[in-house]
Amino acid sequence: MTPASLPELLVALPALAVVMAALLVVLVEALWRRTIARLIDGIALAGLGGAAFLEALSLRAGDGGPAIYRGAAAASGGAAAALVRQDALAAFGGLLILVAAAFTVLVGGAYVARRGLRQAEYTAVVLFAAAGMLLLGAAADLIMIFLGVEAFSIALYVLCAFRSGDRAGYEAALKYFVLGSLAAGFLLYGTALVYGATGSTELARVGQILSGPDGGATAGQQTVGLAGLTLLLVGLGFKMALVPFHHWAPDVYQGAPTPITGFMAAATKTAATVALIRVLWTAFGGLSATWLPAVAALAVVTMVVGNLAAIVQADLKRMLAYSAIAQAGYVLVALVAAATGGVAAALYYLLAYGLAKLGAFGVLALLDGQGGGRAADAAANVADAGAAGERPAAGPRDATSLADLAGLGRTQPWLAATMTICLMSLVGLPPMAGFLGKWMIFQSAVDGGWMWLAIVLVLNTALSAFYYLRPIGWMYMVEPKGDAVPEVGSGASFALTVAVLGLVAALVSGGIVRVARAADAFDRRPPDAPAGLPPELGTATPAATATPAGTAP
Amino acid sequence: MSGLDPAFLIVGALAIVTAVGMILAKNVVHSALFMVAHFGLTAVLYLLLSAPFLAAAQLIVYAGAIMVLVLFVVMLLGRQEALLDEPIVGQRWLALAALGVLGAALVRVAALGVPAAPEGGTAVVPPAFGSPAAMGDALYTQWVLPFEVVSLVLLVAMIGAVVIAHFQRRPRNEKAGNPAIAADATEIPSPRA
Repeated sequence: MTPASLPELLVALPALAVVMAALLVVLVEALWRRTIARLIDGIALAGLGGAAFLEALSLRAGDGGPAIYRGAAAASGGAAAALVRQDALAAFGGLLILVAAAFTVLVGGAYVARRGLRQAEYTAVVLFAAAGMLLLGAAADLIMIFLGVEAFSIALYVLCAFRSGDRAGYEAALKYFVLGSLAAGFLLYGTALVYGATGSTELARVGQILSGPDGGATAGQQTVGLAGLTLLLVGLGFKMALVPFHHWAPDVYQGAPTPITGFMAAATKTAATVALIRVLWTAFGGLSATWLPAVAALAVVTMVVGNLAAIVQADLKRMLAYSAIAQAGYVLVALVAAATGGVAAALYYLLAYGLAKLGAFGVLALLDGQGGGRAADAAANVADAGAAGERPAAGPRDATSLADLAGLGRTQPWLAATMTICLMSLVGLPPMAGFLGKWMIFQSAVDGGWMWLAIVLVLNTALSAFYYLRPIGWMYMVEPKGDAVPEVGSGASFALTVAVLGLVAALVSGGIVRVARAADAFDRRPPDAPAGLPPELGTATPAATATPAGTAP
Repeated sequence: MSGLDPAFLIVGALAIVTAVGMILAKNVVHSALFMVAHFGLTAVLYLLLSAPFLAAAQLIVYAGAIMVLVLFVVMLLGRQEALLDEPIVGQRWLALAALGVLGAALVRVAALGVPAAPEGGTAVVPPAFGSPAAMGDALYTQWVLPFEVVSLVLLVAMIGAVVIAHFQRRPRNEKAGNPAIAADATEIPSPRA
């Protein structure tokens, strides 16, 4: 089915609702000529809520979900190729992205208003970024993957440089832009190689050709395809901040405005992970014996380097950046074990991780302007320290050092509690959602025969407890240095409460785990595809054909 | 796959030479000229691949518009000698080693047999292939969704450019001289004497 009317299009493409809200925000700002904060927030939340409703509709779409195809007159043998497919995997990832975007709009609104920045543009660009991520999460074609990555990346470059006259932000944006363009190049070369090997950019079709006897791929085709996969892995690994493609992350996370850092940590990682799941298991599932060891090695390096580097960080945003790198390694472990429920584990973990990151960065964003006289300290980690020192950053400085948290347990017990819960969830301590997420990853790795990988994961978790618990010590055991109390707006406190409640709800409710399991049933190539697998694209009416569910339990 | 076209070999080799020249040239203007040559040669490559529309677009957009922008920037920033130092020790040797590994991999792949022409495609392209009409037909029927997403990307880039360029000026930075760039004056590197 190619959607003919707007409702059909919206069901197949919830990103459209977000785009419409973003355009409305821009128009309202342009026509009214003054910023009405509540109206802008309202439009943004309505768009995000509408998209969330549409995502929820397809959350249990077991049959592959609605899709947008490349037109009936597709030249490739009469079979229509899907461009985007709104399946359960896309829906789950999409909901996470939408929650992160709503959080960023609410928390960022206070942040932006306090610094006299332009709220309408901020909101609109956040919405555009979210739309790009939604597209990436639903992409069923390598072209759409590339465009989704570009759409949200460009928005994020802008958001990094959003504070005017702020050198750290400009430097973050420039670093992210230059390295991100390089990563986009890798993504494109990978796409070209995959197309050269298979003659298709559609993931399902690529998977069909490269695996199984019916595809009839020659050794040369498979090798070129794997070379393409390597480049795609570099491109997506960059966005996920996997080691060794992580060098941008600490500088960018530190330099970007704090709400944006939280958005990048939670939403970008989700979108890139969902795309990577599709590339690895839909397109290259048949060749998994070849690439699994490499991806497992990547997971180990990412976990170890991320955690070791996080330990020595004095700056909280840098610490959380390295922690985000390490957490990407945990998610990668789940992707390696995708045959034994790893995808559900990855999705659940992304939920727990995303909420915790949003909460932690949210608290830091609310504390901003509280840190005083330590501008040189913040600049010390930035490469161009001398130049940055000449000209202090504009406006209030972000609270980023451990000392900024001193005594928070006494001055702001509620914010301190939020931070504590989020950090404990990131460690994976038992009463938190992060624990269940890590447990699911561990279980899927053990079930899949990746015992050593599971052991590395546990050891890394123990290692990470050190740096996650240190800020908690600062908050509760160090005397407060001043009596400045941050002003916490209603929207921001609402968002923080939701994040904390989400962490609790995710733990107690089995429903989320069930939904994550349902999302596991996306269109994938099982590692050892039985020869009789019905090729779902060989038929003339793709919509009527149920996508063969994976071998998920 | 038939043997490689000699024209392709010559143009391809020249394109690589100009690309390397662009990176190695110490003078920014020389670098820019190498880039123009490279863009032109790439356009010829497109022509050899039966993509006349892409070739024309390459010439107009890259060799034309982008190049004018680059020259404007060179003009505004002044002609500086590029710093060809290595931030990472032994960077060039590492790059050469990586190149060697890549080359070895390519030879290995070639030994395995280069894949056949894409499925459904033939060695001889149909006469209308790559023509503006065929491109338009593909863009606005089959690939209309990606096309719209590209327009979204451009819109975001436009809004972003306005947001970043239109910053509030603080009085502290407003110096005598050119008020248009006063706020940013300290950030523009002065040309070498």
